[in-house]
Amino acid sequence: MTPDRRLIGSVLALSVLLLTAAIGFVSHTALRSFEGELRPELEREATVVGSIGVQTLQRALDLGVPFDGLSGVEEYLATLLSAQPGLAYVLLTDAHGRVIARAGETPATFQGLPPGAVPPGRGAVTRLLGSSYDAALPLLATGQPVGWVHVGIARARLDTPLDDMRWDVVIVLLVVLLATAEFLRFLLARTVSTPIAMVRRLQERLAAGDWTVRAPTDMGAEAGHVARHLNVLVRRMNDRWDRLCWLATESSAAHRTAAVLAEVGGKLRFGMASVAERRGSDTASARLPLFLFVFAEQLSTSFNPIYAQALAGGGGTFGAALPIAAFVAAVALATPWGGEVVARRGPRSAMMWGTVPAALGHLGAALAPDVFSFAAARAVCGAGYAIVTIACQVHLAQEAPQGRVARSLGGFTAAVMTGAVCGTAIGAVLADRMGFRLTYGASMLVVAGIALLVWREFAPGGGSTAPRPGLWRSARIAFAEPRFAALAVLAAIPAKVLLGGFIFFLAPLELRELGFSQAAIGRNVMLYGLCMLPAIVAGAWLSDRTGRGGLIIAIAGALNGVGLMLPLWLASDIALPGAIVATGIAQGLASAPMLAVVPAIAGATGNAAAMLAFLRLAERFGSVVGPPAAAALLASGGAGHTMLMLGIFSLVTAIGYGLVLLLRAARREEPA
Amino acid sequence: MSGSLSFASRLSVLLAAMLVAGGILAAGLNYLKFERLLLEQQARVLEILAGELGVTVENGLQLGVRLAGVPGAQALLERSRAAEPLIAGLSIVDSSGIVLFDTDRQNLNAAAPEAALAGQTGSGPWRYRDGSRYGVGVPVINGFGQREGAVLLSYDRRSVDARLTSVLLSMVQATLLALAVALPVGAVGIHLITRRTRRWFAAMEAAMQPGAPPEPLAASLQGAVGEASAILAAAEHRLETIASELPEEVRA
Repeated sequence: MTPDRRLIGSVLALSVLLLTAAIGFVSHTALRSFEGELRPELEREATVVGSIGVQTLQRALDLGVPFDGLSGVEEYLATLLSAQPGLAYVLLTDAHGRVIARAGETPATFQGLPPGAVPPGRGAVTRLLGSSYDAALPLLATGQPVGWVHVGIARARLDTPLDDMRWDVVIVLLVVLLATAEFLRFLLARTVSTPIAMVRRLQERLAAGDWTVRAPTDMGAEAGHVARHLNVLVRRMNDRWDRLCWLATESSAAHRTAAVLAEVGGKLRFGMASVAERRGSDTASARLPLFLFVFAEQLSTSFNPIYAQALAGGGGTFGAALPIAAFVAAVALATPWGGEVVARRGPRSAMMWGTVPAALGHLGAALAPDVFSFAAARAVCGAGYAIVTIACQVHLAQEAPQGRVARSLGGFTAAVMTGAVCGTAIGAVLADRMGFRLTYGASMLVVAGIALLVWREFAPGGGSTAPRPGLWRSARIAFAEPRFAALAVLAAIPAKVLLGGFIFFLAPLELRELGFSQAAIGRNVMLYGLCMLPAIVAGAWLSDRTGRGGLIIAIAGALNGVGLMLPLWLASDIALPGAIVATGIAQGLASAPMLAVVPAIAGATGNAAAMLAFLRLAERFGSVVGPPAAAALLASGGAGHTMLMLGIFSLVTAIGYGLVLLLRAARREEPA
Repeated sequence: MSGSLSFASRLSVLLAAMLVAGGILAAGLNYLKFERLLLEQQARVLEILAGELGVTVENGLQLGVRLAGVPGAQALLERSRAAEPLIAGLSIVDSSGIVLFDTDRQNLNAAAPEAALAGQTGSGPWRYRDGSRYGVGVPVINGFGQREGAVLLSYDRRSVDARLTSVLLSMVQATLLALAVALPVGAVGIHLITRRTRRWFAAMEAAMQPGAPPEPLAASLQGAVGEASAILAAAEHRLETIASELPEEVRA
């Protein structure tokens, strides 16, 4: 095992341990202290309500009505209870603690105050009774308590927000852990694994007698020292060779000395390379900007429609949908142009260019006075999103080592999914605490940080100054290749139609129809992402291992189709989560191969960046078409019918894609 | 990060940064949530009190008088304010927003702050914020279901702030304690974990020095260097031999 592999695992384990312990301790202390500080406030509420009840009853006693002669108390207590939502019970006991009248649900363990209990000078006697906070206020006759009014507030009033806070802490922990893993991966790749791999490569070349190597000197830490020493070593050897050459030229026995030099030259090569060795593939660190960018973008996912509705003055669905539609449309329209920018300027420049509209868009969203300016800001964000995601994708493809293209590109989807999970989760928590506008501000700051990171840490270049075909010409070239056209039309578009139509539209609606709570709907829909993450890894591994990315895509499409037909055989409450799981697995399996086959299809045409852009465009098209298509099917025949139709659509397109692959393979074999 | 920092130091700095960020996020987000909860709970209690005052005033209206003539209204407000230390001020305004009764008599017959009345909707209570003061408004409805005016209860955050300060202190204490333990443990842990890799880098560096003793971790590199050195040394020796033989050839 190389030193770097064990190191990465150990550092990750240490980070998980320390972060969990530290955040757990801080949160535990916080929650304990909250409980201590909130409890008196709840008891105060009970006391205030109790004092209102006591005033009325005390007035009757002061007017001379005996305690035993109080009438209509049950009704009065019921009125008091119903006027103040959140109370568990209101009841009246006599001086011996016996219940005279009650309203609400009294805990089974309720016991009145014992005879002789001393009334407090001010306020109430408070205590925790089972699952309720109880406040008791005295009714006095001739200065002595003749009865007590008890008001109970269920502990759930305290437990519910504390439980919410516990979930928030879990989310904070999850996000910090995932972000730490991404940062560690980046740092370790930069300072350990990539330099070690490079040193090993150079070592092999030296062992093969190649003393022309030159290590890059722009690395920091120990790797930089080793690189500098390596260059000195090579320089020293080259100096010795130069000395030999000098000795040879000084000699007049040219034939014999030339033979000696030739013999050395046969075994060793000298001279200093004009270009330093590349650091080597660095897909791990290429993931970080993408993760951060998607994280920043997804911070607002959970509240975009709510914010839009608020800006629209509480208007209907149009106000809520407009910014989302503007964003998706801008991403779709800017994607081919983004591909052009990446091809012309290289991934690094494109990433930096893309962060400008993204940051401005977030800022615009934070300051938007109305829904139209908000939609415009989201459209600007969408343009930035299109450029940056394409740039990251091309960057990953360029950094991918030979034979591991699918696995490296699987990292693209994994980074997107991780960023989406983290961003959505923490975004909801941030918005809850700081408000929508400040959360957009946080997104803008993260995007600015990404620009700084890319500027500092990524090597420029990767662009091509060669004249490139225009957008339409690129599209014609891309779609003239039947394998690409089949991939876009029969795989990419159907996948996103199912994602938009089933996962985002139909599944939540149908789960609600089945009586699932909002939290349960969220958990079920989340199954998609949870199943997708391991499936991405499996799909990438299979694709690299077998080299049959196309076949995996076709099988995944068929699996998705069968999954959506589950209502034919199973009850809806099982079939629906089953279909979500099947869609997550199928789309996860296909995602990396779908990206990995593009460079192979593009081949020597150098059109890979444009093809990737058009593939993304096809996916956007599917995302836009999916929800209305599913809505139309739902209106015409119900949820089961919609799932069946979507399933057939997936199955037919998958079989179609498989047939295209078979046809292509048969044609290749014909000339042979 | 400076180029001179070792990778272990960089890892320690990153881990420390994430620990600090995690601690601040956990403490900060929890604090903000708690602040909202506490303010909400305080407002809830005061809303009950304001609602009760509203009911009392409405009962007064049942006597057939106008809002401005409700008997004992001024005394009711002053008594309620004295009974509840949280209350900063109480006023009763008519439907056009003119103050009819107020615990601060200077405000009588003046217009109530716009912010205080902006949120009134339907027949339910509303909450408002007027500068540093928070408030609760309750509509006063007469027997015919018409809005006669409102009871406005203003309060400040002083009592909440005391609780928040106490919570903040306990959280800062917990965060500092967690960091005081986690940061050194993290640094030591990183130092131990990276030992092997640091040794590898050091061995590589040492192996490239002239006349370096054998380094097991850099055996392959030293092998390559040794082999090249041997070839060059042999060639050098042969060239020097040729050079030393020349005079005899010339003589011959």
